[in-house]
Amino acid sequence: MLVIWATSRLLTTTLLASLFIVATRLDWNFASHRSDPNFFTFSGSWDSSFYRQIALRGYPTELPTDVAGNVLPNAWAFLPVFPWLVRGVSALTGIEFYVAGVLVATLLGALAALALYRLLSPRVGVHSALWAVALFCFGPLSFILQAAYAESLFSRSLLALSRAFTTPIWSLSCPGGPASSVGFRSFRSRRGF
Amino acid sequence: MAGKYLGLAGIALVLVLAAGFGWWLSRRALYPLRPEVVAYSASYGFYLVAVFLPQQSLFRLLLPLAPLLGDPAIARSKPLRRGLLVGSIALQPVVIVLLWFIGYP
Repeated sequence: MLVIWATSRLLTTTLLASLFIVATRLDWNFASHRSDPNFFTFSGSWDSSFYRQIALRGYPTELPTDVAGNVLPNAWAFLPVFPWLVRGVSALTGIEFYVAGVLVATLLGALAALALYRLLSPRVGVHSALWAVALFCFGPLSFILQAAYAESLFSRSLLALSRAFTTPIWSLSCPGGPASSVGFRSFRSRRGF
Repeated sequence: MAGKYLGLAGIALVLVLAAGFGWWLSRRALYPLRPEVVAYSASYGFYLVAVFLPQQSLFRLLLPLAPLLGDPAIARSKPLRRGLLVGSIALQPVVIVLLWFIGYP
């Protein structure tokens, strides 16, 4: 399982890095303003700068507006868990935001693949579950599982929750866990599934 | 909304996609994923149709449907699973060029 994930990350990293080099050499337009162009800031293109802002300075207390008074895109459109996680890793290790963001996202991508496997294998068997993981890891948009972006955290949480929700384990994550677990088990056995 | 971008063809495209998605979910092969995964995927499909505009992020927003890749019919058929894997890998550089250099959001 983890071999599939590692191979896929190696492939995507190679693709991203070579396209980064080609694009730099040919002077293509880049998705984000490049004050410090390297592979990690490249992995933090698009809206990652908003996550960086949340991690380093928090949310703005005053909303930016244009001349007509309309509110401009700003960090309030982005949720805090991913940038706070990255900030924690940065604080502990001293690594810069974009590098830490790529590391955290890649690790969470592995956990997402693992969660997908654990959700599926009891239902469809190991063979089908491994193919699902392979297609998930090698998918056309799989770079999102390693970009400095909240997607891998979201996938991991969602898949792990799906699994917890479809097994009696869900009760361990809510108040009155053991009691509701017994209740759920008896509910299951009464319904005959 | 679909009509605004592609006219009648856009509306037809959305209807065909929705029907295809419904057919995929209702197949016998997906019985092992019932009821939770299938019900969740159907709800998420409805949510995407109801809430999102056609935009670059749409494909990224399909990621939560990943559990459907556990469809046993995919792993059972050699041409299908290999075709999907090779197709995915081939599309990776295309998507990177499109989203990181040309039509970036």
